Amino acid sequence: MDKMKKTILLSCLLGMVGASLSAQTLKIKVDEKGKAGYVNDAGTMIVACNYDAAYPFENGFGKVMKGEKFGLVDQSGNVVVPVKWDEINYDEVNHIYVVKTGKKYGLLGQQGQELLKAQYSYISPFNCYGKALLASGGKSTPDTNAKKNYLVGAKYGVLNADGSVAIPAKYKGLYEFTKEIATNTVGEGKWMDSRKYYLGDTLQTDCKYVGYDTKGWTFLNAGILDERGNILLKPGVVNYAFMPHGNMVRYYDYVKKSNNFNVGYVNLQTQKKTQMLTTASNGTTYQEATDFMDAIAAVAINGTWRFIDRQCSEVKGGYKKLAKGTASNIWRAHTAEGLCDFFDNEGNILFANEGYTDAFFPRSNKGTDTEYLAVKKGEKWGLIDKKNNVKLPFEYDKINDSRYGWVPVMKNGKWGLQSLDNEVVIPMEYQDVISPNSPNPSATYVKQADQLWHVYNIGLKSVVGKGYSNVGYFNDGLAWAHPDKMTVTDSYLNRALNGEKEVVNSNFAYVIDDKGQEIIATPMPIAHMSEIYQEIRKQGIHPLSPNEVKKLQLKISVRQRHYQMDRTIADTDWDY
Amino acid sequence: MKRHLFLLTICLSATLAIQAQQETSADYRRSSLYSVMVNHTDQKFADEIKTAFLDMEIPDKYNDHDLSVKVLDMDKKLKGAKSDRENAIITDFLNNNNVGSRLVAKWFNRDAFTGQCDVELVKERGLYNASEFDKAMADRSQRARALLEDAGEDLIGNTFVLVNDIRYIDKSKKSKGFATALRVLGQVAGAATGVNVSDLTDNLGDMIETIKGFKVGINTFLYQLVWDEATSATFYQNHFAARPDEAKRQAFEAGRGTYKLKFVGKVESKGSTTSFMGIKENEPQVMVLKACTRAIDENVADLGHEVEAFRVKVPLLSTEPLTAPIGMKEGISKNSRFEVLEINEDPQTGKRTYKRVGVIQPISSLIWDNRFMAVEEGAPGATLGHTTFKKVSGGDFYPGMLIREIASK
Repeated sequence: MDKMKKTILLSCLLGMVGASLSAQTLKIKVDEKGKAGYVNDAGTMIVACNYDAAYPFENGFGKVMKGEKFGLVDQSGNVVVPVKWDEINYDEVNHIYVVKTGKKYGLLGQQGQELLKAQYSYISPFNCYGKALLASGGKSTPDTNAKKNYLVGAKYGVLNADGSVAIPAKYKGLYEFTKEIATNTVGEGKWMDSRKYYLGDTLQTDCKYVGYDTKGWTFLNAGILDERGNILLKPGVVNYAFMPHGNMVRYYDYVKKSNNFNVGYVNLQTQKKTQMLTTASNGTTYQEATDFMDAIAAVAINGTWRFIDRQCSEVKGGYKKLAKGTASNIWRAHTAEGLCDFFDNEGNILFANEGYTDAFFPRSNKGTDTEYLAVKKGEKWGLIDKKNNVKLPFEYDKINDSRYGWVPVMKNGKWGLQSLDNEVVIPMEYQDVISPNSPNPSATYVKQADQLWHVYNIGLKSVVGKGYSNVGYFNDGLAWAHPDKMTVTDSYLNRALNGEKEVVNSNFAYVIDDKGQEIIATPMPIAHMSEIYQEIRKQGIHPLSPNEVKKLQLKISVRQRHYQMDRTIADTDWDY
Repeated sequence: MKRHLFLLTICLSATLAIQAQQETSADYRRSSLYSVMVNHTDQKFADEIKTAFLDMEIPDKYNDHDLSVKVLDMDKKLKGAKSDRENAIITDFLNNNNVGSRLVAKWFNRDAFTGQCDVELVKERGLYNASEFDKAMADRSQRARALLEDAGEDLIGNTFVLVNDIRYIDKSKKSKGFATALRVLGQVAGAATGVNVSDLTDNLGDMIETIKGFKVGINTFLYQLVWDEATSATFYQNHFAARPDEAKRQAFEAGRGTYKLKFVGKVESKGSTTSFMGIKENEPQVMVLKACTRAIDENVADLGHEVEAFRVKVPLLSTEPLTAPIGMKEGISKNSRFEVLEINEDPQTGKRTYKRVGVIQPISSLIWDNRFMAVEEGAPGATLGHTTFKKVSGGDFYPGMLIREIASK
């Protein structure tokens, strides 16, 4: 081996050793005087025992305390953050430190560098979007009902986890769009919430839009800011504003004289406010108009739906009924003749004049094949994709949404299951069928004439076992199943299994396998099923004996059971 | 070239040495332990203490022989808890609930519905050759009887019950230390929950009331399963059923009172303060767990000093130097003395006996601090992995020989 290669090899080896040494986290060391410092794995003192306390290393730094102040040291023993802070709290998600001195909060970065000067009266914990509430001024005041404190008289803003101020702390009222109004077939819409900000609470949204005003009492007449604090809508323009979509804001203005709402839109680019309709304030479901979905919205005027663009001009109208698939983002609009037109969120017609009279949208996008749509032509249903290609022919009386490639289909009142390749998985012979919740299921359920759910083993192509009134999805060959007329004894053990609460029948079930075999034929708590399945698998899946069931019940309820010392405990509560 | 190879050897040697330190032998017989707590529902932090107790594992030098009842409630102090004598309330509980019979039933994996028993746990904990044991049992030979006698003496008879009466020690202090501690816990409570620190009452943050930490006082009562010749004969003849047997099942139920526990000792923890060092501020429940675990470990070690049958036996890991996986958790100090035991197994009967072949003593600077969270706390000796001893007397030792403490600290 030549000299160069030897040198390279040695360098690599030493580098590996060096790297492993520097990766070692220092350990706390307390000397005979009770003072704390840090040593490395070899016991060499790296940070002298000069501190009153030391905390475990986190993020490559150790927090140390002297007197009543805190600071940070690094793994070389350097004081990275001087010991001058009253509080240093590490946010391990965003890798930053929220610091406090006196009554002022600030922010330090991952290396201890100042990101935000300590001049704020409060910084909340960061939420999952990396946003925190920022406050200036105000006084911490207890709310005796909530048993928490909040700031009275503060001005609020929003802070990013990188230390940049998203929205300056200058608004007495800052309102997040969290209140969902009218979850319905044509889209929900969110209002602002004028809740109190308690110390310790996090913001609930990504703050892409927030409501604001200078009073801080209520979101009535509030304006809207974007995530950079730019004013999108000034306060007082509308009474109640929905969260912006597609650069448009749906609004409701209350008219006291008539007790009605005027409903319309504000175009945030042009600031033009357009009223579309009037509706009675009593009993409104806020479904007269939708939020904009990209380029279009839908409004119902005198019972007829129309699509409008951002200028509030009609794009297409004359529809009697409207629905939207939230998972697929497809609109379905029924004409006066009872036919369906389909639109996307841009207002583009996907397909029209195809003779479709109804559609069934995928109900969620968890496992649902949102590319496909069940549609009705004449009296029959088929399955199409978004390009109008037929996947399942128009020969069914009903089709439900496709999940993981399995499609429930019905003919002559009988349900079965087809694959997307139009192969029969379960023949159409049953009262109902449950789509499996995984791409490669071993079993699912069918409802028979007894109105009970029975296991259908897909490999065996047959119904197996007994019927149950309620069932859970199969989890690697095991599932819970609630027998009809199962009763749960109101015993101490069952209450313990139910989380130390009164026994509720529907919270318990048997455990079955995908061959319909009852593995546990005793009511077991559904809330503990994952743990129960794990224990069953440990011993190999087999029907448990009464003794095995009893031991399992006692094992999973051990933390909830406690007994008076002076009582004799029933044999049912002992495992032996 | 030579220099490079030398450096490479050093690196590899260091790696191997570290690995060796982390290996400990599990192949030795342990006593079996069932641990239960008396939870004082009238006291502060009762829930937190109960949670900590349920999170605790059986000490690693003992087999887990827990039963399904772990927590006993009392809404007042346990009368007679301070006394060293047997506590009538505890003994009554154990007797009235036939705990002795349940410990025996667990040894033989007894099915409560059919009466069927097996000896799998005996084989496992006794480290018997499984196929040989099964054959002897099937043949019902003299050897089978001898094996069961051996198991009885060395295993089943070494089954213990620990009853831990745990009380929180309230030591509120108004001092600079107190104020500092409140500020410390303010980082836990104030920042996280918005609660005004001075308004805290029965809050987790309240627990850290001195700069040093949370205190519990634990009285531990030790009972031992009685497994004498008469008891074992009754069991094997009248209650053990290799297959479902209704008559034997009923006989056992009627005869549960046959299996008794005897009181063998009681200790009280010192109530020493447990440092919060090493605990993250957002995990105050860990403080409770640390305080309770340390106190119970201390009591278990003290009981081992007082009760020979309860004393742990651990194997020597190496002979040069003499090392063993035992440390401060088991109550070792520089004054401890350990006898080295040679294990002899009779080839005819399989019976094991222990013969002292020497005495050793810990080297004071090399005592392992294996107490709970000693590493996180930065305690000296926490990373040793074993205690090193020096020979006091005796001949040749070899790895695998057991050691057992013979002198109180």
